[in-house]
Amino acid sequence: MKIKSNIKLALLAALFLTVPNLVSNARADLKIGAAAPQELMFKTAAGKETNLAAFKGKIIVLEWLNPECPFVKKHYSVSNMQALQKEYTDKGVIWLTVNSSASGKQGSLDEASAMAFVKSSSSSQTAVVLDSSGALGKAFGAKTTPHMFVADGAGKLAYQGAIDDNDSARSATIVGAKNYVKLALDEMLAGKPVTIAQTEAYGCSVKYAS
Amino acid sequence: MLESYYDSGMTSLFSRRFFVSGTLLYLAISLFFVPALLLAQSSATLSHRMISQEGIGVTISINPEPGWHVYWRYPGDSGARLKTNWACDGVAPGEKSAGTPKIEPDAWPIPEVIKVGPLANYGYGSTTNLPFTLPCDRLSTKRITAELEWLACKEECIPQYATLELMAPWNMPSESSRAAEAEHLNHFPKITEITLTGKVSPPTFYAGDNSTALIYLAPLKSEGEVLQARFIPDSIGQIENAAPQQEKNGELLIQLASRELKTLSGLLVLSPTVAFPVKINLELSASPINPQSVSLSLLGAAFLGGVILNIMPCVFPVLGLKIYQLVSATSRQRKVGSLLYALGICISMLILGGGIGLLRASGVGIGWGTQLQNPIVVYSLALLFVLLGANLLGVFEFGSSIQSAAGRVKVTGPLMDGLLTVLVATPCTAPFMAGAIAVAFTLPLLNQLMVFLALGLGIATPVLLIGLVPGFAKILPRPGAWMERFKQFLAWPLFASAAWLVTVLVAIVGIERATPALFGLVMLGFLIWLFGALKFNGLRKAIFVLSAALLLSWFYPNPKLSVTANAIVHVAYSKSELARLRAAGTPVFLDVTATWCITCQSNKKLVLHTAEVTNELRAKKAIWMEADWTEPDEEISALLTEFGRAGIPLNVYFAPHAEPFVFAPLLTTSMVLEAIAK
Repeated sequence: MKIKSNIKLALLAALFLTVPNLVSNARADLKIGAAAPQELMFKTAAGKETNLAAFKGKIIVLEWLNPECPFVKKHYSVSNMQALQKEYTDKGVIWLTVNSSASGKQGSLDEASAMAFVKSSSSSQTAVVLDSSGALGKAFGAKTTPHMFVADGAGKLAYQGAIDDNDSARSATIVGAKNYVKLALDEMLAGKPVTIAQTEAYGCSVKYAS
Repeated sequence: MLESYYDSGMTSLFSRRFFVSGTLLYLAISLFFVPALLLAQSSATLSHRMISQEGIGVTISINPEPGWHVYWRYPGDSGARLKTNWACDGVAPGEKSAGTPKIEPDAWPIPEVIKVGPLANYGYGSTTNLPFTLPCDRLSTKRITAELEWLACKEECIPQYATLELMAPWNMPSESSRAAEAEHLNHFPKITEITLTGKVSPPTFYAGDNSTALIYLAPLKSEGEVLQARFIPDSIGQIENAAPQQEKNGELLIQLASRELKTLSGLLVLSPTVAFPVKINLELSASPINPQSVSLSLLGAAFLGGVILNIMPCVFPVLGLKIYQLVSATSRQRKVGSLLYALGICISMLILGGGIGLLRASGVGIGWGTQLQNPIVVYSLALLFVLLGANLLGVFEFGSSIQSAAGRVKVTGPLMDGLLTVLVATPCTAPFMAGAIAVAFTLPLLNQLMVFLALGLGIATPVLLIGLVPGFAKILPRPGAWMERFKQFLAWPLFASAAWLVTVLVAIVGIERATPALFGLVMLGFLIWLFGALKFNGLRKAIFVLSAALLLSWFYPNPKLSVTANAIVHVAYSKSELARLRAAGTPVFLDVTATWCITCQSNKKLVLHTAEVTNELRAKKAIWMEADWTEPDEEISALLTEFGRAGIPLNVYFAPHAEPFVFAPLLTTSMVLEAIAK
């Protein structure tokens, strides 16, 4: 019986085996200049499974969405968000609207309701990401809806925070507010560094499962 | 007379009902002279407070309904701040001077921490009185108006709006309103800011940038008993709001948002009634910060984790084989062998724990599980497991045969076994173990080693018991034919682990990129069978193994994604969308495909996703329209019928204002390029 050799083989072979609960659950917010999670797979409302690496080389905007949050409604009801989506997707920016509401929680979307929302709001985003597990949200550190993240063509985070500088829920305040996302995108498209890279996001909390 | 108006941004039935009842209420209780607004989620009142040289003092009192909360001046991870717009006789206070100063409350009551899933907010669940001092002339001002917007949240959030008014004369608060305010007595932080010091831990935590800091609360000691110390920041980017904070012996452990921070500012709350505004100066600490020393329960948890680790699929086959070995050994061999085994485990644990500890202390961000994030490592492991499982099943033999019935005990044998057991066990985890190791990494090196030692002893326990305790040895069955079967049985946990590794691989890179790796495993099976059948020796064996390894490496999960992914716009098929695009004169490349259609996949890999075709399509500004027929779809079936096809692949190129070009099922690059160029 080749026991010894088998044990050695067994031991050598089982090297590096891991059962998954080792990886820390700590939610580390993505820092400006850090690499956005390229490999993390996610599902879009169109049924496609993809990841950020698929959009390599492009500027990517991630917009956290909860259609029932008054602050999201603030921007959607006057087509502020839609106008931004159209303007920048036309310029070749990838715009991902991410829904991280866990199933059963406020604003949770499935494929059908997501497509219905896109239709009813006439949104022009590149794709709606269905992130009910919250994995993408936690990888970025998304806390509010809306919460905006912009990654540059090299996949590094260039802006994160609020969409604009007025945290009122009134749509009327959008006109006079400074739109941080627009500023950052204009600067990035012109090849200039982003002047305001990080602001305090406002809105409802993202409805994670736990 | 006092009037109250309000407008509710979210008109609801509730607001209307309250409007009616509110008006009646005011008529009925006109003596109260307190303008108020009632909404379903919270109410707000405006009342006189006092008059002084600075101006007129008023109080806004916000009263959230049970279950609802409103926010502090820094709301935390989410939420929105209170917004106030004041006017004295229709004029914003201080307007005469350059710039209108923003009027903030004189003070905010001590906020509560409100947890919302993995996030945390700061706010109030009960009546909150906010004193304001308006720089308005107390003699000439006749009317004060406040426009308010605040956010009330329970599970969902509802913005609240109110416009409240107060009229002169500025009487002192009436008995009733004073009594009402006393009932909802708020506790305010102390006036004077205190400076505290703190230490930031060096990178000794999980690969996950958490930064711990220890705050010394000694300067606050005199204020009496500390019920529950908590640092509440007054702005974003200071701490992880939702992370728990631990207080022991006058030191508070918190999680910073970044290790680079030099100062913190906010409130240090000692109890619901006592809080201090603080500024905290941080400096980097040389040694790890630990509020707790090694406790018996920590060692116990590590030990228990080690014991449980024995039944985990990575260690279990090893344990099985060890028992297999003990069964056919003499009593003395068992005793010595098991002790040496345990010694081997303990020594290796110390080396391992010490090694990791030193690496982490010098800044290397390794942690448990980082190796499993690499797809190539996962693939290699899956291969290794299948290889080993096959060996246990007896499909092939490797290495020189060892006689099991020898009388003597080789010292190095069990020691090496122990060392290898540890190497095997390290990546695995068990209940209690992960937690114990997490804490161990926060302790000084010596304490860390103690935890690892306890873990090692746990792993060695079953073998020690069988080797040393005569009773246990008796329960072992006699050697016999069952041993071979048992050895074969041990192959199955290994195969199961290999299958699990495959799911990990798919989760990391997605099914498309993991596919070659799956075929690699099948290839491995074939190679193993070949090896067993051919029975090579010596040099030929070495050559075979090397070529096999090279061949298997060709099946590694593809690190590069196909070119097309970002170059062309992809849309999903829909009849109307296709019609629209064609009408607009946009060239469309239609691809009807399915994951089970091998020809489709090979067409894509060999022809459609190549750089040449992609560039050509991009140059023509063509849209890629994909019809996914993986699952039945009527619209796509109709499409196929339209083009006279019964099955897939079907590729059609719609040149602008031209007849659609239907490709033959098997594509070639030249065929495609020619069709597009036309």
